[in-house]
Amino acid sequence: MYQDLLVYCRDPARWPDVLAYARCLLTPGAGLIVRLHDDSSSDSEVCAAPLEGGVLLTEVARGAPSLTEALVQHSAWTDAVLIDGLDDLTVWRSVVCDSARPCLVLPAHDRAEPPPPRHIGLGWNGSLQCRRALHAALPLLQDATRVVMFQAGGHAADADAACAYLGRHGVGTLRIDSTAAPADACAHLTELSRRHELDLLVLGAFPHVRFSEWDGATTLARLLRSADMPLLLAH
Amino acid sequence: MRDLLLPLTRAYARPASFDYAAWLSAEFKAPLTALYVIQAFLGGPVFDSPAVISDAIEFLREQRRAAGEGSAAFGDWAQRRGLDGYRWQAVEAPYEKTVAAAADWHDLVVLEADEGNECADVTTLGQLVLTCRRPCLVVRSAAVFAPPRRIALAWNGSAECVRAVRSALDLLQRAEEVIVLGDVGLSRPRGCGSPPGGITAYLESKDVPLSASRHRIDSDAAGESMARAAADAGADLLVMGAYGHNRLSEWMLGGATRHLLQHSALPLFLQH
Repeated sequence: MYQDLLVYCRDPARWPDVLAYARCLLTPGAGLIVRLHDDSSSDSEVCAAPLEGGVLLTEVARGAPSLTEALVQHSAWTDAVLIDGLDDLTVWRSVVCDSARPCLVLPAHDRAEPPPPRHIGLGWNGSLQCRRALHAALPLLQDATRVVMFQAGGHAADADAACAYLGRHGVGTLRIDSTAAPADACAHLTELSRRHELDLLVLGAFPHVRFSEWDGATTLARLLRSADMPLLLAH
Repeated sequence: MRDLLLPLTRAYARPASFDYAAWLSAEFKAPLTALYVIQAFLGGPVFDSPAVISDAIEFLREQRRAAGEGSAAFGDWAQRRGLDGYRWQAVEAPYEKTVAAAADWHDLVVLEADEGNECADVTTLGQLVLTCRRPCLVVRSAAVFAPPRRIALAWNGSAECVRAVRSALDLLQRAEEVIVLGDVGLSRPRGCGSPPGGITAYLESKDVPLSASRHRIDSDAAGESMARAAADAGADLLVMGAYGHNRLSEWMLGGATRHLLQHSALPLFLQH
């Protein structure tokens, strides 16, 4: 579980659901939720107010910077960023790459309240970004009741090392080696996630230079647009 | 703090960074990974000389032998220190890249500072602090270990500072006193936002035992000024954001981070 979380929710009507999800990501009895307001006319801060269960909620107006800049700046104070109601790949990429924080993205098209992350999937290809995502997700993985690693690419020894690392931290992992072609990876991950009833999928994000992703045709871009579960991304 | 990384290039030496790593591992019950990096022999001006080539081969053999024997020696040392979780890893690859990649699995990198060792001089340390994406604790090899009870915190509101504060929270919470060295002219001010009440309220909300006094820092000679202020405050650790200026201007003008890496007798907790 995380200590402090930065939350951005575009639709005020969704806030209760997003707040409930944010609270289940925090250490019980402690933690701080910083809500980034979409009000660009003001940069005033609202005093912190306690929520039920020891969680403190504070609200910060975005002020003059762009949404991306504001998310990156305020994320320095928190362990992770939770975003709801955005389907803009450019914003996600900037926040994930520039904030050095894990970024949880709630599905843009699925308006149901997301369940707490008890069943978590890890997409693994041995990349640096995958390692960082796994490390960033460890506080959540330690509280999960089911962790499934989908290995697609990379050396088997690296995947063994990742499972051993998780094991040292008390996380048992079911490993599934995938042979899906890169073009089918999104559909394959979605199908496996449904089969294993996952609540959250952890992925290393944006390993390529920005230019090569302009066509938006990567697995991640497809997943971000079509996934019906939250994604945790790290660069 | 869950995992600690202790990179090394000498299998049998036990500089002060080992004492620090052992204390951290015991204090936080955090597994300690000793990463022994085997270096290819690159020295010597004439590479086609048979003598140089045979020296290089022998140098590599010696390191490979040390990688095996060093594991047992490290195990003995760790057991004598009462450490539960420890591992020895030997890797044959370029030092900086290897440490940066291994850091992804860890929460803190404990580094030795020694101008006589090319893998622990100010250039290498600076490169590691910039590329590791994790906080680095830099300990001078000949230092005498003291647990960080009085911690000086260099604060200027930059993103690097915020990241350093958050990464060091576990240490700051365990300290007897945390002294803020304020108005540090290390980097251009950047609006990182802040929780209501600013840094003081934030640290108090995290149960950090904050000292009321603020030491002024001379921004024209921030490195020297900070080292002096930290020493005057009786600190045994200095926490700061590293390389607020870009690398080129740090290199050309001689930045505070570089100065402290080169001269500070205090252990430094740095994050870029």
